[in-house]
Amino acid sequence: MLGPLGGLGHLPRDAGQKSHLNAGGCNSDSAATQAEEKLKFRRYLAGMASWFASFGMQVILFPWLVTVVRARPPAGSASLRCRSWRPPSLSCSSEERWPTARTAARC
Amino acid sequence: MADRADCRTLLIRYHLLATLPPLALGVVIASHSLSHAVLIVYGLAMGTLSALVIPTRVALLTRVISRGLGRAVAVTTATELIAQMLGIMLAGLAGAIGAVSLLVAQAITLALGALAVSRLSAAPSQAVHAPARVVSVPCATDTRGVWRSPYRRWPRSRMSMSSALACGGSGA
Repeated sequence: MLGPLGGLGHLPRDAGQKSHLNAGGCNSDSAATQAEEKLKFRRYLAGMASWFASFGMQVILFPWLVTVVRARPPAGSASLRCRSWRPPSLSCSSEERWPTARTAARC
Repeated sequence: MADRADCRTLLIRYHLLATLPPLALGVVIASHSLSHAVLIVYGLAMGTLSALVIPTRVALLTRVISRGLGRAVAVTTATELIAQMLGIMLAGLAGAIGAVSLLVAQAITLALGALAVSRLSAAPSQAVHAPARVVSVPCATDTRGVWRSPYRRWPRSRMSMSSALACGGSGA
């Protein structure tokens, strides 16, 4: 079990490793790797943002179609929303009940 | 599936597949044949794709970021909320621009997402690189083992809470 001192004990070692790497001339390589990772992360975020922006549109559009276009009571949109949420919930429940071998390996 | 396949390829496929339901719904609305059944099919299709996309995206994050995962998760969550709010604001124009235009905008947004993901480098299964570990039978069959696993806790609890709150809110 790591106490507070155990946790702090890692800091100087990590700092020493970093300074050693910098002194060894790996600074530009490390900076390039970091920049590449940052660019990858930005692309990842862009992909994710597009999905959730679309999801945000759907959140409003779905009940709007039911209540305005179909002229149904709002209760109808509630049951429809629940239906659209069923697949993700079922997927998560099944993953919990029957974890894949990979999940099990990580336990 | 996300653990065993190339997450990037999967995400591109899911994004492109997700452009189809809004476009199909747009066609149905334009032809004035919108019915309750069509909306149910649309909801189920998008819900199923969500169920596939979210774990794949979470799995991809660990392959894009090698360090500072905690901070990356925080940034990801913030971006997710901001993007969702922007989508909601845009959907507020539904009355002005019409549902068909909005559905086309939704499909274009998803296609742009596929484009952004396609610019990432391939993210093959980690099983190829990770050293083999012994799978203990009690861990594989124990739900508590999955619950304690840091790899599954975040997406699973998030999805469960979101769906519970969404259904609760709609029911109210």
